[in-house]
Amino acid sequence: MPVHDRRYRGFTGERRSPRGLFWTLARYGLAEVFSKRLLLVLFVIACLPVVIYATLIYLANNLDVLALLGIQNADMNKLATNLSGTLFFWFVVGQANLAFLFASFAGPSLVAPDLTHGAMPLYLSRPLTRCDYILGKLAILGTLLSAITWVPGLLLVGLQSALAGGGWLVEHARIPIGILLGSLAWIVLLSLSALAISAWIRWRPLATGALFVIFVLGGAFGTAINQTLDTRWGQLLMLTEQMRTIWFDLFGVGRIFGQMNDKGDLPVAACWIAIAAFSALAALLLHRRIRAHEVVS
Amino acid sequence: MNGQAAVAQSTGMRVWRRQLGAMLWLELRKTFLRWRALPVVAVALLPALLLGMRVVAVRLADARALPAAEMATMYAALFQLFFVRLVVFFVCFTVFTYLVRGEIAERSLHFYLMAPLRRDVFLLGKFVAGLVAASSIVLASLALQLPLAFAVGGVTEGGAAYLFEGPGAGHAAAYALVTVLAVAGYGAVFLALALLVKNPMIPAAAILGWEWLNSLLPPVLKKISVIHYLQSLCPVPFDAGPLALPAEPTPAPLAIGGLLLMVGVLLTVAIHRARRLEVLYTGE
Amino acid sequence: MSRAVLGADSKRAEGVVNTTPVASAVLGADSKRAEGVVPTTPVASIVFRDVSKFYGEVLGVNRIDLTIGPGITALVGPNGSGKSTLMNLAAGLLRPTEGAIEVLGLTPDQPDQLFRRIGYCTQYESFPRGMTGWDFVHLYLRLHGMPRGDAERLARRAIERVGMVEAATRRVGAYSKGMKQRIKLAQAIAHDPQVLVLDEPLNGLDPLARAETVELFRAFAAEGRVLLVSSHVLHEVDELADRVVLVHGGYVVAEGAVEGVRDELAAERPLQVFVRCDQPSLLAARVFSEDHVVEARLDGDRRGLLVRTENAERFYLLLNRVAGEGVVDIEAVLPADDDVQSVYQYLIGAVAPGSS
Repeated sequence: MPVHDRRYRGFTGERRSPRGLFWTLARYGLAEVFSKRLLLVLFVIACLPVVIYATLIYLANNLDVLALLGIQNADMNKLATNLSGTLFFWFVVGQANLAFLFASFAGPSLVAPDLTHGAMPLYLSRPLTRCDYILGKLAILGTLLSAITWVPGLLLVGLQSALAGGGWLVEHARIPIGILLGSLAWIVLLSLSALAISAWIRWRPLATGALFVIFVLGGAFGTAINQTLDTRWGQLLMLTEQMRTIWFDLFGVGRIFGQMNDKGDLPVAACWIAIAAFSALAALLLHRRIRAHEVVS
Repeated sequence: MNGQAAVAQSTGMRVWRRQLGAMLWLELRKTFLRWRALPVVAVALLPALLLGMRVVAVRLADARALPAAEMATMYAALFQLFFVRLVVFFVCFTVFTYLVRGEIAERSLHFYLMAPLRRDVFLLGKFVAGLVAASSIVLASLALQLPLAFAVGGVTEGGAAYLFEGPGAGHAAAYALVTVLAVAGYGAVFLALALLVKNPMIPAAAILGWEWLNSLLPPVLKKISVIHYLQSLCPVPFDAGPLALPAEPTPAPLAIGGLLLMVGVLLTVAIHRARRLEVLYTGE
Repeated sequence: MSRAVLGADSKRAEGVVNTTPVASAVLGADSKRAEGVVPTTPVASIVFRDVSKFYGEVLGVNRIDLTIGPGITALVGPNGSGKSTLMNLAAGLLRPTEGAIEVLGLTPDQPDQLFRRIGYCTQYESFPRGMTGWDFVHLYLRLHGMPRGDAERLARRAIERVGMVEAATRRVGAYSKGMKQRIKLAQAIAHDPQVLVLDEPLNGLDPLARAETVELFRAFAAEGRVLLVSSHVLHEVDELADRVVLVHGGYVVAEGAVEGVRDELAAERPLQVFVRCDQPSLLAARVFSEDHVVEARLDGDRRGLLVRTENAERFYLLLNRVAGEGVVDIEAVLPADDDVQSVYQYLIGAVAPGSS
């Protein structure tokens, strides 16, 4: 073909809607996450409790199966008659811990490599805004953490409801709402924190360590404040404890193992506000870092 | 005279000393003259912040002031449960893993490996630099904590006398020793880990869990930890709670010797690994 | 009879001013070669003995036997061919999976001695964070164990040599690619090494800096130092190197002086010579009578002849005879494919990198 004929020809095929562009990032990100053996193993481990809980629910609703096997278990009988918020509360707490572990290892590698390798100008020179980029990365963690928290949680509710009859769901309507709201709050908090840390700390192990510092050391510092200053407001630094207070409220169960300290727990509203404020701070930090240029002084 | 000629005329020890000095200067500059050091310093200062808040609460908000002896027990718990187990642990993790693994992440390790440094000198230089940097940070925090706990306020009366004239001075020295040993112990663990595994966070998380649960472990298992020996050296015991399994503390010389031996073994492993270190930045 | 070389560079033109002009246009191709900088029996400075390097299951280089002596040796090969691996192996930044390497009789297991005598300008673009250009060179010399005064003096001299005095106090992170390249070079030469390993040292340099750097390399080579240079820009290699080592797929496919390598290929790939003259048809008839001439093609404007011959020496003797007879007026003789680019294309088969 002669040179003068090699004109630029624009793409004439079908284009994805600009609003859905972030999914392209999310799709590739998910593939990347599952290409790592450690994360795959963590994900599988995080899915195992679902099987255990499903078995428990099945057995609790089919005590005759146990009887057939010659097992007379008082605890199972108790569980069967009392299958309510507590079981699902423990499910959410357990899965939330696994979600934290998963986010600690998966989150730091989502933004840092793009910044380290100067990929940001490439992304942002396409019809992709900073918000699209952040949304795309959030969607990766959001999808994965949903898959191990509220999605199986609601499936378990569905199973219990199917086995126990329609009346159970009406009677325990706050359980699916608790699972959904409680998990979503945790997912948003974790995802934004992990991404913000990934944007500010480029070395993966250190970023994971920083997430531990915020959630573990922050919690310990909060406890130390409560003990040393004889107050309950140290809980403001204990993100996991705040979430626990919120879950207790959502599931309508009393605090298991008693109060956090003599002064009692923080009000639920204060916990919601603290979680929202922390998430907003993480989002702000993340947004500040995502830009198409870097200033070197 | 040519620089190389000057080096050639110097004895081996003198050259190593200069090389160690250069590494120390380089690492300390990197640790302290960069914004990255701020979060580490902030984490190290958390106990001092807490004790400062207590002083403010006692003075301005009528919080209960404690007698010196009671304060000593409370401080012992804060020191062992929060400062050593978490603060020193995280400071050491950040400083020591970064010494080698951070250079790989920033693709600057070749800068060191292209210098005429024996690999053992390189590694010891890094360790000493990490030890000085991390110790300075946590000892500075300790130097703030003790006066805030005993001298400035928050203690009914006699806090300053307890610290400067009574047993407090000895306690302060013991806490300083424990802090330095903790830095050396955890530092050696993390330096070796950073050379052995690509992502030291995974084993570090496991070690954190193990150290955290130490008080619940049976006496035999307690001894496979850094915190057990450090606790043995702490001057004031504290109540670890109803679930804790009691164990006899290890005698001080044995505890110090054991910790130093562990540091030596870990550094030997790290040196062995450093001798085989290659510059492969792919996949980081 | 006027004799000039069409489009040839200065070094080739110099070769024409000779008592046997035609032959020297080809054989005396390079002034630096003519100066005899390259010893005929090179002293072994970098030796690879049956060296292989695997990255897991991926081949880096395989069974390399190579001896590099004083002067400038160029490593040429496509991306991923193993050039940087060879250089990292020579500098001890990588360990061979098999085989042994020696640099000036030292093994890479003796970094404390090796790096006093070797300077390495790596391909890595990253620098320890927060450093200025001065720090980068000076602290490196301090790591040598040099006293402060000596380190400062040598750092200043190296920075001056690469023309970075003004930028030395600025942070390396803010440098342009060319400046980074120059400061890396300053670091590599600062301690006066006997062996210089330079991975793509001319990358990112502007033409002026490039010319100055090439001059610097030549000066080093003239002092009898060993320079191992990798490059993608083949005409630069042609101009710069005394010897080339062609690497492909982890194997050394050829090594030696370019002409030597080209001569060895003559049977497979006859040498092409372009002759500009007033009667190309007559010349074509003369050359066809020789059995070593494979092809003779008239140029489009009927003022030139492209000849492919299996024996360059006999062909040039023939040309001398024809010129002496005075029947054909030969204006210029230009070897068409005895450069690195042609050798590269014949041996590696790809389109040569950096070729236009």
